[in-house]
Amino acid sequence: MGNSGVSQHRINAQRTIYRRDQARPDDHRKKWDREEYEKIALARLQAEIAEEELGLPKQPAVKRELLKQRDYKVDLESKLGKSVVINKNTPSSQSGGYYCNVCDCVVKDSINFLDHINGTKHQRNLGMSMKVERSTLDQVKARFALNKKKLEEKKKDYDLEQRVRELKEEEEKIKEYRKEKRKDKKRKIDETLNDDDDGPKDEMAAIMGFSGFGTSKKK
Amino acid sequence: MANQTVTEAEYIYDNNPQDLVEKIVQSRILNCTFWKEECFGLTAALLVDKAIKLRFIGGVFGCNAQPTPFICLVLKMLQLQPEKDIIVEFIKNEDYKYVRAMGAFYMRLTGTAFDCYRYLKPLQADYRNVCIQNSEGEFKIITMDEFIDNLFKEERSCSVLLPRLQLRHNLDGNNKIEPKVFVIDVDMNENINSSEGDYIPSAMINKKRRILP
Ligand SMILES: [Zn+2]
Repeated sequence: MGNSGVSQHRINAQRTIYRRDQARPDDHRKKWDREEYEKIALARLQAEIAEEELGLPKQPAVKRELLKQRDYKVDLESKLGKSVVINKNTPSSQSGGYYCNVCDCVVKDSINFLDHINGTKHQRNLGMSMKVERSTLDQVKARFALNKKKLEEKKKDYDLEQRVRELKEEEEKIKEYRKEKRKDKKRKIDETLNDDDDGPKDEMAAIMGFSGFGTSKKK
Repeated sequence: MANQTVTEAEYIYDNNPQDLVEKIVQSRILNCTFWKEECFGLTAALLVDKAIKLRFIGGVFGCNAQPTPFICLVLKMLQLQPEKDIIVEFIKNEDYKYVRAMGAFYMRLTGTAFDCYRYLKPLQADYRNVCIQNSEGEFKIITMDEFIDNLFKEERSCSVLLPRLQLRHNLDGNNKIEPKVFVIDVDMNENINSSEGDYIPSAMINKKRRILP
């Protein structure tokens, strides 16, 4: 009831300002009442002049910073799926939901939390106005250049990484190759050793062959 | 509050520039997470950072009309209403094709017919592939010149009703526009920079399509 009373009052107040066209009673559209507004404006102007004459210092308009982009990613998921026991004594910052430490309030879900931190109230608490800076062409150009530079640096880093990797691979290959070579050498030595082993046998055989030959010759 | 059009903005076609995007699409965008997380407090310069991360073009898709990042950023641009020079800078960008697509789309929405012809027609020499998501959520590969062509031929693009455009020959009659320069002509004459003002992406020139007789 109270509420409806208020709205009723508001409508009444509006009616004093919007006047219906008297000439056409069937016209139910609201019309802008110039005289009424002029009266109000004049009254305010007079009040201001009077205040100035009294020497009251004007209240300085609150100077707020322009709206800034968040430089951090909103953490919406770190507490997801965790259960916490809360009682009457737990501070609101640790009870369930998303806690805003600037405004000291808890919001129940992620979308509402985003709405809250993007909202006027929160930004005012941060000392920001809701106005966004107007970028110039040069700023945009600089931004493009900056991004290009970043990308190139990343590429260079990538190149470096790749080169390090390639170097490592190459080293590995060389190692492998050396290992192989060493093995080869070893085998050769073994072979020569075997040859050495064989040598006397051969000699023996030769001798024997010789002797055999000799013997066969003898035979 | 953060979603109000800047006070310096000029009204386009006697309307708030934001209203070029239908109300229902607007409300979908304003309520999506990408908008709330990424698009808050952006300036035209910071918009660059987001635009270069775009990977596809698109409006809203699916039965619940989910907005794509592309259309979110377009709405942000409509809110900010950057200077024309900035849009041209977006269009001229060679490195990021989706930045160009966004600039072109914005130019088509807000620019005069003269500017649309002047800045967008040269992009029809850009044959790079771009990925576009249709209203069913399916991805399709088209070329940039197709996308630009559709901006002139179709009534809607990316879930936005495109404003009507004066026909080119009407502008020609008023001597307001330079005669049409065909890229093919330019190619034959091998005199690329002869038409000053008309911007032809240099990277595209060697990829020019040959038209068979
Ligand atoms: Zn807060």
